[in-house]
Amino acid sequence: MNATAELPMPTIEPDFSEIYQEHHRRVFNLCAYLLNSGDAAEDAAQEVFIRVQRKIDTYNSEFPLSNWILKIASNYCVDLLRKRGKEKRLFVVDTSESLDPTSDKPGPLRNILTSEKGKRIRQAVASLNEKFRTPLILAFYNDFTYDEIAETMGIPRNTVATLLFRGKQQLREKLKKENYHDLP
Amino acid sequence: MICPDDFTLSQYADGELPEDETGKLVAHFEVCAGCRERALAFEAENRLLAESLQGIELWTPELQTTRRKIPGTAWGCSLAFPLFAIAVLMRSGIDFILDKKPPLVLDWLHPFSLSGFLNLMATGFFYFLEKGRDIMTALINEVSTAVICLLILGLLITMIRRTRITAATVSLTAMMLVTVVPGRAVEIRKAVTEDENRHVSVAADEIIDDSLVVFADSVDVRGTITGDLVTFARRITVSGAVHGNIITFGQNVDIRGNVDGDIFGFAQSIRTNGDVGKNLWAFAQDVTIEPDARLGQNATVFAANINLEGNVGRDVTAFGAIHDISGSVGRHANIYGQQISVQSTSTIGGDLNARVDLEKRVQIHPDATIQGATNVELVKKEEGTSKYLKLGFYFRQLLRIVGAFLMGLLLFWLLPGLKRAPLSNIQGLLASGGIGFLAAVATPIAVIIMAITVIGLPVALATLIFWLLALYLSKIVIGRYIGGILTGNGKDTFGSTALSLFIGITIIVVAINLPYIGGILNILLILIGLGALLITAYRMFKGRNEPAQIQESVS
Repeated sequence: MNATAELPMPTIEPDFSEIYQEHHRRVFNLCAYLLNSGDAAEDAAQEVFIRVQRKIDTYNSEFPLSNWILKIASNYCVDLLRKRGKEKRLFVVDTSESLDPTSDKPGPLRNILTSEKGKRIRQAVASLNEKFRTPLILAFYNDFTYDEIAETMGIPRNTVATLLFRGKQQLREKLKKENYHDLP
Repeated sequence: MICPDDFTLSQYADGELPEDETGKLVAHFEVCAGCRERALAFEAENRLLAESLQGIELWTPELQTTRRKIPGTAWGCSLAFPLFAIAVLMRSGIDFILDKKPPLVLDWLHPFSLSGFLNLMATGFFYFLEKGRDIMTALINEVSTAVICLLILGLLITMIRRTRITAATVSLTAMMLVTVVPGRAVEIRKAVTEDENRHVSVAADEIIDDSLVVFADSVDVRGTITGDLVTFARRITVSGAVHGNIITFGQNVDIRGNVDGDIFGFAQSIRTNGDVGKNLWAFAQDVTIEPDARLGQNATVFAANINLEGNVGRDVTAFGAIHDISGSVGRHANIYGQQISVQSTSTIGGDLNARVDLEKRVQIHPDATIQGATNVELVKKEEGTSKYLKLGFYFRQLLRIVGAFLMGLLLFWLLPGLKRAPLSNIQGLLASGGIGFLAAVATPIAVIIMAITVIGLPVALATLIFWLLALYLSKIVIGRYIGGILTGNGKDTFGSTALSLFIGITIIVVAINLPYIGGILNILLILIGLGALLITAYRMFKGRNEPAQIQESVS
């Protein structure tokens, strides 16, 4: 009886509580960015931590824990987006849509954005179409590489590059439109 | 190394360019300050993006955006097109059952055949005669209200958000209103519904100091109108003076007064007996230019029976069955028809050019005066010979293909974005057809309304030209798409575009020339192509190339 009582408590519970405390905000924000909804993000974050708890044994401690959790969260949210029936073609890029880099007349965001507050940029990102928003969030919120984004979204690496480039293009246009009368 | 494009620089800034390419770029930066600056700007952009996204404590609902959706419109468009297609098929089916002549009844659908065109015109015209007044009244009321509301809304938006585009738009509109309204004010008169006669009249001593639009069963204008007179009525009599133009839609049109401008008449019978300052354009069953009538310029007449008893200052161009000329023509008379009689009293200042079936059908009285030459051209009747057996037909089709091909090359060179026609799924196809149908039907109505309301004639003409151009280009757009599918070539090179364009256009020209079904196919292709063209142009204009968004809004 005593022996049983002296056995160490399963460490998963307190550890997981810490993990949750440490990463919840990041996971929630990621889900909210990807799903574009606070309510959906709360449910999604909860589900992500259930999965984290379930899969914690498979975590390779050589890599940062935050990356591993964010990957789970990203995969889960991208799956959710896919499951919204109409989003089946979400990440399909029309190959006939040629990339025309020379048409990108407006300069990079810097000129436009230096005067912008983060909030306006976040709003502009939120207003992007999901197929452009998702890689942008994964790249600039999660710091994912092209390969990681490609794996998460299930699309070729080249498509990731295209979507990111065009996503940024659209972001520029949106911010430029908002600021039209401020522009030189 | 030539300067890298933005796409390459963007990947470089993302740290995702292959090592060897990165090396080359860095070497290039040593010698090219411009590219170095651009690369730094892309990197700064990335940092800003990362800082903005990561720099929040907690995501807040204010970031949440709701996607704009117009399911009603999209569904409406998707629905309109199949309904139209079903209506056409039913109409054809009923005619088939009643007449037992399937090939011929479809001829009216062929917009390029003369009989089809005339039939379509006549059907539309008589429908308009019957319902035109109600349609026009309702439309003018609705559209005028909508235009005024939009103007007010535009003004409000400008006051709230002073951007250059809205400011320019509203300034332009305001300028148009200021310049157009006083000069082209319109008075609208409608017959009182309770009045059995539904009669509208302008008394002899009445002067209307602007344009007048009348909807009634009978119209009698005895007074003076300083602007244009536009009438929709069964019987129209004008014995007063009109300083502008007369545009009439009616059964019997009788113009005895003086008109300073042109007369555009669409009616069963048109008679003129006064002085007309400019031209007469008449589309009718019977057209009579009476002995006392004097036309300052030309008379262009499409009618079954044409009687020219009065004086025409310049040329007469007439397309009809029976022509009787007893008056005088200042210059040439160009007559196309079955029978032409030039009476002894007639005087033609220039040539008489006649085009008839048989020479004996041109009867010129020996006392008639024709100062120029008399040219009689005989139209060879080729009854019973199928057009498919004539070489000229194939030559014309070849010209058509080549013309459309060259036009297509030019189009896609100028606007490469048009290659992305939203036709890859059934919803896109239906939506394109629906939008195409609405655009094809609504534009001419809008043009008529624009021409007689505050927006003015120039806008109406420009719209009409764009509409005709869009109708022509619609089949090219759809041809490129069909060709693209068949060649299976997704590449965006000049060669692949040209190949798919050529194959697609050839298939379309063959398809629309098929016996019996060619006419229907032609209409369907025009409608779908027009819709696709408009959707793609809209997307290009909006600057977003998001096929998914269109598809979503449809679904």
